[in-house]
Amino acid sequence: MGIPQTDETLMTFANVTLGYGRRTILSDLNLELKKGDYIGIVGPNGSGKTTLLHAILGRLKPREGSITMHQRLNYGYVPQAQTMDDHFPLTAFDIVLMGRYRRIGYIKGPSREDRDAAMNALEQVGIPHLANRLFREFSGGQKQRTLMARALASGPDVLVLDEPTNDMDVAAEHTTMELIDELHEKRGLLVLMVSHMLNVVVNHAYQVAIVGDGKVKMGPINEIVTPESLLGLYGLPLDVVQVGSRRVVI
Amino acid sequence: MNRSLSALALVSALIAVAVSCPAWSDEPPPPPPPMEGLNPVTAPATSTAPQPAAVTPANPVAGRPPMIEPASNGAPPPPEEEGLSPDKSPASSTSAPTATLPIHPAHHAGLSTPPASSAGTSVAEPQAAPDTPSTASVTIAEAFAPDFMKRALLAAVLVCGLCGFLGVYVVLRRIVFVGITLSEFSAAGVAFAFLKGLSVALCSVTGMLIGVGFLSARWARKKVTPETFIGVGYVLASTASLLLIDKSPKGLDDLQEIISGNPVTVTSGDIGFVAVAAVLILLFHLLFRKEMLFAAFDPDSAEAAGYQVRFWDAALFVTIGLAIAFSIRAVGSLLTFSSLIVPAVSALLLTKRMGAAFAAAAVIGMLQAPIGLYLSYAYQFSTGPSIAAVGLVFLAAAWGVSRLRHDV
Repeated sequence: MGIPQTDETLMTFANVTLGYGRRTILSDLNLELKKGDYIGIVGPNGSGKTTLLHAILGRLKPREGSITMHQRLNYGYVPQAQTMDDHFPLTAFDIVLMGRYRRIGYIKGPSREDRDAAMNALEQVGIPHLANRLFREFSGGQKQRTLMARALASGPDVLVLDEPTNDMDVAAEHTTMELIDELHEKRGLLVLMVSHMLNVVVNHAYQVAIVGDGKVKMGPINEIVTPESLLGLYGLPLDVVQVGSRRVVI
Repeated sequence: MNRSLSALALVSALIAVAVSCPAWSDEPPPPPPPMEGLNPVTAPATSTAPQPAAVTPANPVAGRPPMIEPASNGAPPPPEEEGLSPDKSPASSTSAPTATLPIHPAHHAGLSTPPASSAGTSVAEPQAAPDTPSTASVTIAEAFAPDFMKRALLAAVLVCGLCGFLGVYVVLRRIVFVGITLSEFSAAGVAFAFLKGLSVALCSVTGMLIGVGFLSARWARKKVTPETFIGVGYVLASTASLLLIDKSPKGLDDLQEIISGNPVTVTSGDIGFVAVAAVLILLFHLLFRKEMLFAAFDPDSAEAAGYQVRFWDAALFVTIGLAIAFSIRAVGSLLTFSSLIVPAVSALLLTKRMGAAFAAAAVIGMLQAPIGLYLSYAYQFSTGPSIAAVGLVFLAAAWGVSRLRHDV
């Protein structure tokens, strides 16, 4: 895999404290997110992964410190496919076109260019033939691809994925992660992937941000994902071992 | 799920038909409480030129809406059946216990009470009385000839079409009970208007807006589900309504007429209100359909894309609330609430595209209005429940079509 990382900093967290109401969730965050980074965000349930994600997306203001955007960023957010509402009679194309809504602006309808961009995004994720099929008829993997296509259609600088392989079988997980890797390589996007699946993160991301005990520790996988850090994080004697070309957390 | 839906539709249809039956009980209802003034909705509608059909007053105790009576072979109805008029005491028109059974053939025969043996007879059997015309002989042209029926048709088509359209959001967003809660807030506003002698329309809309504010607020969401607060809102608004009604000088009768509504008593002013509201609401939804859809379908992603989802949520609630506030004035709460749900469900069963669902829901809503009104006129059912029952028949048909296509 090529590493399209650059020195172009997109976002900086300086001594940031995050929380809701009176409750502090994360403190002393000092992070620098660069174009081309591929960061896996891991941590136990309730550790603050979603809180960090909200702050990155600009939906949660810091209680202390500052979050600096070095340029106007377009986010391509990919939610968990299984959280989407299947009752809406929307086709894959309808959903991907939503990624263009901000560009289209208020009142106006989608232009030919917007429609082409939506189809192009569907082609990039390999499901142009499903454009006119209803989203609710899709498998989990097809739904995830549709949501990724929507994120791509918006022309993002940052691709944010929330548990992209949740509830997927091994084959779907493999193809989904291959697709994310490919998009990262081809587009040079900053990819942020929240996942509780450590094996997925250590085999695909370049860096990892471990969220736990109200802190975030970020760095290269080899330095951050150690038996000591995993013991502290999960309270279990885990290790990362190399099996062939893959890393396995056992 | 499918069985539950069909059972619900069947039970609802039976209830709608049952509550429409005028001879529901052998026992005559108790006399209504005295009324201090004319009903502000009924009076203008019935004070126009002589009507070929009589609009019987609501039974304030039972809370039943009025019903339409066809004319007897074109002859003007007896004076006591001509409905309320400005120079006639409403109390006198409703004080007789038999006023709640006005469409029974015995009334046409001039009897003060129906024969005991036929007290439970359906209104669809007027041929039992020799001097009563067969209701089946009423043509569509005859039914919609009177001015009040034309106004009723216009009001019902507008309300059912608008509510049908908005109902797609109500059903898809699973906020069915938001509709009934907002209608209660609106009713509380009406009660306040009576208490203070303020504008009913203004207070109705204000009450609805307070409801929107209440439902949009983020009340301790980590501890209590949003559905619970919809329930709390319903209790709050209902309690406020009842407490305000207790102190209202206008009394229960006027308020019930406003809340129950009746298409055949709408005035041109009511229709104007509904028409303006419908145009503005539909225009808003047309212009901002992208934003409304995105925020409704995937609020997290919409927010990540930079949309103020709370604003669009509030906009949806406000437009639904406005539709409710204006519709209740014209057609009553039952028909408003039913139009917010039933046509949308039928449309979602029949269609496979978002745009088609909106269009179909509006069309089904508009179609149920003339059919229900005609049946109400021809077979002497209450208007609101008749239209709602037609909607349920459409729903059953839509479910059947969907089953045949193996969609459900």
